[in-house]
Amino acid sequence: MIYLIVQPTIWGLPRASCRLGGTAVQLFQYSKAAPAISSNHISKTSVSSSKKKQFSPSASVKPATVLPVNSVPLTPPIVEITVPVIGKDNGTSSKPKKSTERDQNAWREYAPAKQSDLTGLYLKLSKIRLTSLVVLTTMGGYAVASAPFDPATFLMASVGTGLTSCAANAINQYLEVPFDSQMSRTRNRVLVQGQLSPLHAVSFAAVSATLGVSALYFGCNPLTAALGASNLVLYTMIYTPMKRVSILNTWVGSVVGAMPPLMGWAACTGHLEPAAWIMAGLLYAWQFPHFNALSWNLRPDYSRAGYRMMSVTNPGLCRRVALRYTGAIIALSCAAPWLDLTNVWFAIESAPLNGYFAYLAYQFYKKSDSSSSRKLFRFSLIHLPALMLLLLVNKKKWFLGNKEELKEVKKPGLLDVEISNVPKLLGAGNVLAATPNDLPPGAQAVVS
Amino acid sequence: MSLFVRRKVFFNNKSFLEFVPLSTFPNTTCVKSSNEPPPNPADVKHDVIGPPNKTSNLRPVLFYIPPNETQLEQDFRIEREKVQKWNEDFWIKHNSAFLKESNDFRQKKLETLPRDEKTGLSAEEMSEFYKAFLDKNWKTHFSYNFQWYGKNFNLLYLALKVQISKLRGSS
Repeated sequence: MIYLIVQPTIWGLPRASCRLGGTAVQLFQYSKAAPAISSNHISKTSVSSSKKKQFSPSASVKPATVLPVNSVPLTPPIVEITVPVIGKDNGTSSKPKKSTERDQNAWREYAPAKQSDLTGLYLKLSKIRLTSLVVLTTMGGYAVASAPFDPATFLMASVGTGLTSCAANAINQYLEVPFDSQMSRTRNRVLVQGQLSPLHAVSFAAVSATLGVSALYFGCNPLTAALGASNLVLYTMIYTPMKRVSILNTWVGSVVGAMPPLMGWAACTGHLEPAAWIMAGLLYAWQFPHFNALSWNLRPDYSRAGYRMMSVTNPGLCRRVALRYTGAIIALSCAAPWLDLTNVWFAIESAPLNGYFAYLAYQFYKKSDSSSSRKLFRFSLIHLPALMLLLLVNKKKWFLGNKEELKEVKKPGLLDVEISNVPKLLGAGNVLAATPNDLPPGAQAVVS
Repeated sequence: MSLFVRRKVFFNNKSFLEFVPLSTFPNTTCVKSSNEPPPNPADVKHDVIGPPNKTSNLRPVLFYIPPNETQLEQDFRIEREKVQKWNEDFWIKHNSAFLKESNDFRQKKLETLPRDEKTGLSAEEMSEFYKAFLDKNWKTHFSYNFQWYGKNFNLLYLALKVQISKLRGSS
């Protein structure tokens, strides 16, 4: 539990801070412990050796392939090299070796699964940071819904969503072992490292999926459970293989990201009113600037491991889509007061936040490089929690257990879509799924 | 075969990763990264997993053969060995191709540039290659992906059978 609280990730400022920290540490280590790697030394090396071969010093100083630091390519060095230390350097030519590095290179028991390590391994297997974020958005969806707050349902919705997310992540890792092995971002996962056996991981997934969906079904309502189960299927059976099949995977992945707030809302009211789609829509739209900016710097990795990401196969589209969806976020924020989800202040207060987000996306669109994409990615991590907070603060009506008021507000289920149609509806057009325009024709009539 | 080295450089107060041919460092002592050798199979009483292979990036597993191995266990072990070999072959071939083709691309691209700009290719310029490589290998990736799923499910099924027979045996 302390782990959860200490991890900044959960509060939505996650990877930026970790990344920043990581990069700073790396730079420090490299600049301090491995001076031999810095460019001056290398140019000296080649100058001193210029008798053998003609090397222009500038050629070795300027990078052959310039890649931003964060996009550590997946291939480990083919050979480890020791550049000779020149002259009066203080003699620290050894590469910085982390203490874990030796463990990484050692032979060890396959899937020992000692009881004491299991909790930690299960947390890693469930991608606990991602799961926490998912649970938070579910809580957000519940909190903004227009029905009285019921602590028991709220708890069951959170636990159920959390367990379902754990299951989804475990199955995802079971399916992805050879692919995860290829990228530095993912090669520390438990199954790649052989810390758990695939059967163990899948059993864990089966148990948590059963518990999670049951919690949603019995603790909340069948609608929430159905949403949870379909999202599990969508993520593991459609999204995961699709990454290597079609560029559409990003749209499907965004639908997966937009489901948790819908589940929270459904757990609260039992229906999916039009206002429920605002928050889902915001999450859906947010994925594009967020992920497109992130994936921009991972292009070499994706190319080699076979991931058909927009940033590689259609860079122009990648930039356009990121910009487009920041526009959609502005539109959705303005639609929130109109659908009685928030007061008018929300539209006004969120304007500078969304405006700056759109501005960064525009910069990325104009000139896509590692700097503009990183700025956009980092701001996306601040943008989402800030926007959710504004949404909550400006919620129009608070229901403090007043059943009378509830009856008055509860309109007939405006969007009682067949559950089986929900994923289809969301994924079908690959357009902003959750705007009111995309509601089925029948629903429009009911609204008016 | 030309070897490439990945290194971090500082340039204009920014750090970059770059790929440079090994021949850039003529005075270099080149050490094949020395991993611990696999343990003697006679000494271990369980499966062991090793460091990732430098080309395939996959971690090899050595399978322990218990003296009283049942038929089910043997089937499972042989299947795992087969799948491991199959995965290893695919990724070695695939990653070597990626490395070779990206180097060829870089060389070709550099030749077309005017002399004073022969300083290297940016990630932007390389992105052309990344796209081409993905598009060219779409079929390969597709068929590998689903073949792997099939093999992986089969392994899971065998593992489950072994587990159940073990539970029966112990009870």
